[in-house]
Amino acid sequence: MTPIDSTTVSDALRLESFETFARESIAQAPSWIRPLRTEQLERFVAQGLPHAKLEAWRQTNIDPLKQLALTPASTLPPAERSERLAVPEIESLDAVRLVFINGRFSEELSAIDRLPEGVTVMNLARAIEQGLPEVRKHLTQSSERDDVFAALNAAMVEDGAYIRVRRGVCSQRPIALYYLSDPGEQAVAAFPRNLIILEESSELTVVERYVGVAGSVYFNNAFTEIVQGRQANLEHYRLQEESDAAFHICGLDARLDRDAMLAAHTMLFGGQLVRNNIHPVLVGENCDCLINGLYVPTGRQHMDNHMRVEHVGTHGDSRQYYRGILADEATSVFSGRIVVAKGAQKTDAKQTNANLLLSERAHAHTQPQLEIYADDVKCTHGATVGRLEQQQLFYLLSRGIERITAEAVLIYAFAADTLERMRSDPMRELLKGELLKRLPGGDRVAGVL
Amino acid sequence: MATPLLEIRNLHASVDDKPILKGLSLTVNRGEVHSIMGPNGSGKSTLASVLAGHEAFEVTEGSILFKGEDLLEMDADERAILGLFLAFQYPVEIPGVSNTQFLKAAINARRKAAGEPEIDALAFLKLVKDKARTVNLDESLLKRSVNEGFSGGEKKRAEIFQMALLEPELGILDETDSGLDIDALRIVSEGVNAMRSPERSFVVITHYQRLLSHIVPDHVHILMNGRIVRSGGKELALQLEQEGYAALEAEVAATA
Ligand SMILES: Nc1ncnc2c1ncn2[C@@H]1O[C@H](COP(=O)(O)OP(=O)(O)OP(=O)(O)O)[C@@H](O)[C@H]1O
Ligand SMILES: [Mg+2]
Repeated sequence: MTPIDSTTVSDALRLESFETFARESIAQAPSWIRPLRTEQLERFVAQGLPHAKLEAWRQTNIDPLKQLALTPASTLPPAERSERLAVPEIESLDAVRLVFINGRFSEELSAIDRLPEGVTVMNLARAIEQGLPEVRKHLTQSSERDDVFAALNAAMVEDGAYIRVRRGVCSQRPIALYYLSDPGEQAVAAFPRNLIILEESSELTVVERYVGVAGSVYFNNAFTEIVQGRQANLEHYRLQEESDAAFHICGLDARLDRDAMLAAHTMLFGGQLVRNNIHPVLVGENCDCLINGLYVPTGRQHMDNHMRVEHVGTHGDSRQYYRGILADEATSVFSGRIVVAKGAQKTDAKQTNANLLLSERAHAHTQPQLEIYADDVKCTHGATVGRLEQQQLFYLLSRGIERITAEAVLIYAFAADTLERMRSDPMRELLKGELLKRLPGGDRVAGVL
Repeated sequence: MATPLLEIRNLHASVDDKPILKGLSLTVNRGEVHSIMGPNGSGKSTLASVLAGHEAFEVTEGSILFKGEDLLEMDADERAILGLFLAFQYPVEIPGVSNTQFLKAAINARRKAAGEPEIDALAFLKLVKDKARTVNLDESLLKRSVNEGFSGGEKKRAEIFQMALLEPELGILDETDSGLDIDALRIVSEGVNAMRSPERSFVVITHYQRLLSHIVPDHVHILMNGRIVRSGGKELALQLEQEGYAALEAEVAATA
């Protein structure tokens, strides 16, 4: 896609004044996508940016983001590589590799080879350029109606990954998407979008990994749209390791047809302000959905997890397990809503959120919500906020285990279930390592495990 | 005379500003087994916790020397490394931490302090197997998380098993007999007796003479209301069992 001539727009702009820029950008996009993007832009404009009075944003103040003078990534010359960041490749995964720099595809760093038969993978800009029928059909179709950042992402959509697995194909090779942010001196705003289509009875593992140059300020508004046909099975991992100064707002929307299975795993480590929206809709009957996550804010990081699990079909099974480990002055939000539509009988929905506070100054807000319009359903939810169990700590100390090790052992134990739910061994091992790397005393635990 | 292994002088300790121990003194020499008996709530477990270094208990007065060193200056882990072991009255369950990880960490902490390399996997397995056998502990339990889902008796046996692994110089057994049936009691006692040596001492807290017929103590102390009110030989335990605390209490009150 041709970059917009940077002389036509001001170098930096605030989020609230994105409209003009977006219109110019849309005018240069392929004609078929213009109405879609315009529609999303209208929605973005109509809704306006969130503020603290909105229920969904009560605990998350985005003022620091609003005040940022942003440089849209598309106004920068495309970068094929980053001087400061290496691709954090997960070697043991042996995955098809797509690399993006500031939200834009890098052909040079990517390796889209040894593609299994029936699996289509390309960068989204190319798919849009080609106007592929599946892309025309699905792109921006699943966006949640009241999610303004989903609308902004769709209005700004340019690049990302496009993945399609044909009917009956079980891809042995995972697909890994590496999003590298190397914004330099400017606060770059990127709007990567992934479209993942799994046709009937297909199977795939997708990994999204976000990293950024340490200390750099930028805004990543990422969105992943998933469409699963009957009995399609997706294992999805999102590993977010942005710069601690970054703003990361991401969304995952999935539509599941009958008998489909989705496991969405999320690990949040980076970002000064993080909003993680997850919204699966179990459309067909007998769907199975696992939402598994761990957020580990330290310093003054704020991580907001916003779940909305919608049961539409009957006999749907959903399980949400989210855990937070908060240190220093970190804050977090878990807002989990289960919506069971009128006809969604025999729904079995479960939701738990547990938070471990490692400091007196850390705060975790948790807010489970049920909205049930069917009568023959089983829905449970539970939330806890606690500290390290002193009796457990004393027990470990009394056996001669040093305090720093003992604490790390207990913190790790708190997260162990989350890791156990991951089916991919390489991912589980990687995430275990990433977690231990960040825990005080984690290196000692590694020797014990 | 050699330095006593443990020397407690005029110990006062409180929890939440509530005084529990009120001037307790006790000297344990190497090779000795001391038993502490006393009614519920008299402060037996508090004494054990204070010795092991639980932070919830505040020592307001007195001193504790262990191997001639000031125990109160040390954190719980340092005390353990120095050779103190507490078999808990209520062993703690730690979900998510496997027994194997836990035991390995405990053994390696000791080895590190002694300047030794970490235990190798094979030696560790063999050690665990041997020691589990001494207390008849079902090895499959060790695949679980620490104490998780163990029966009361299994927990107690696991404590003695840990003690056998860690080979402390002072073992404090807090009501290890409660929850054990006759056979288990015998096995656990044999495990403890096998560890008795001229260098190693035990403080055995119990309500019952039954345990003391297996682990025969050199000294018996009666703890009441935070103080040792009477000390004697093993016959004191028998007398207590026959007469009960009430008679003793009256006697103590009369002589006070
Ligand atoms: N963590 C604590 N917080 C508050 N009070 C405590 C705590 N631990 C012990 N106590 C109190 O201290 C007193 C002594 O308790 P302790 O457990 O030492 O008695 P004990 O002699 O071991 O009794 P038992 O025979 O029932 O085991 C009791 O009144 C108990 O309620
Ligand atoms: Mg007790």
